[in-house]
Amino acid sequence: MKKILFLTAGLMLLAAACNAGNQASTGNSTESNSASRVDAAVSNLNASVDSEEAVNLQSDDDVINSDQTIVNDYEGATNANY
Amino acid sequence: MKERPMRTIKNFSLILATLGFILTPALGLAREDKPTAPASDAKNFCTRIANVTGEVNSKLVKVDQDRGSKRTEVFNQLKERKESRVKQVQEKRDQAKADLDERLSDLESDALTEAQLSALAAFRAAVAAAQEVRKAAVDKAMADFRTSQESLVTKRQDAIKANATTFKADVAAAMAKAKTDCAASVDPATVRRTLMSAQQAAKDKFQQANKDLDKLGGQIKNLTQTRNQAVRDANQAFKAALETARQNLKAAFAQS
Repeated sequence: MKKILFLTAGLMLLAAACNAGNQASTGNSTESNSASRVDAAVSNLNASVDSEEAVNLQSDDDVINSDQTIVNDYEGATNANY
Repeated sequence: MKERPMRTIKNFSLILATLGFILTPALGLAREDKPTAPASDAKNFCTRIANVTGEVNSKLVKVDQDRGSKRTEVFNQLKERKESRVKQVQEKRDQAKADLDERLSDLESDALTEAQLSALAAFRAAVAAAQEVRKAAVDKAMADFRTSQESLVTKRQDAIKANATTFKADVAAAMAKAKTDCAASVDPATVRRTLMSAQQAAKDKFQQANKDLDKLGGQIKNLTQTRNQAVRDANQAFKAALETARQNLKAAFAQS
C-alpha cells in the first residue's frame, strides 16, 4: 500500500514538473510570437509609408513641359513659299 | 614721259585686281546670308504675297487653337494625376490601418499580463499620434506644392500666350509692310528680303521671350525640392517615433 502511495506521489510530482516545463515553453513561445508580431506590424507600417512617399513624390515635369511643342509650332507656322 | 599714263593704268589695274581678290570671298559670303530663291521666284514675290499671307495666317490661327487645347490638356492631366495619387495614398493608408488593427488584435490575445495590455494600448496610442502628425505634415506639403505648382503653370501658360501674341503681331506687321511695299512697286526681291529679315527678328524675339519659361521651370524645380524634403522629413520623424514605440512594446512583452 505504501508502495502504491509512494508511486502515485512520484507520478504526481513528475506530472507537475512536466506541466511547469510546458508552461514555461509556452510562455517563451508566446513571447517570441509577440516580438515577431510587433516587428511585423512596424515593418508593415514603414513599408506603407515608403510606398505612399513614392506616389507623392512623382514628377509632373513631363506634363508641364509638353507645351514646348506649341512654342516650336509658332515658329514653324511662318514657314511658307516666299 | 609717255610711259607714265601706261604705268598708272597698270598700277591701277593691279590695285583693282588685289581688291577683287580680297573682296570676292566676302561678297560671296554676304550672298549666302541672303534668302536663297531662284531669281524668278523673288521677282514674282509680289504676285504671291496674298497667298503667302493667307497661308501663314491660317497656320498661326491653328497653332493658337492648339495652344488653347494644350493649356486645357496640361491642367486636366495635372488634375487627373492629383486625383489618382490622392486616391492611391488613401488606399495605402486604409490598408496600413487595417493591417495594423489585425496585428494588434493578435498581440492582444498574446498578452498575458495587465502590464502587457497597458503597453499595447500605449503602443497603439503612440502609433496613432505619430500617424496624425505625419499625415498633417505630408498633406500640407502636398497641398502647398500643388497650389504653387498650379500658379506657376498658369504663369507659364500666360507667358506663352503673351509671347505668341507679340510674335503674331510682329509677323502681321512684317506682312503688312510687304504688301504696302509691293503696292508701292518696290523691287519684289527687296520686299521679300525685308519680310524674311523681319520674320527672323520676330522669331529671335519670340525665342528670347520664351527663355523666361526656363526660369519658371527652375521655380517649379525648387518647389519640388521643398515638397520632397518636407515629405521625407515627416516620414523619417514617423519612423523614429514608431521605432521608439516598437522597442517599448517589445520590452513589455519580454517581461513575463
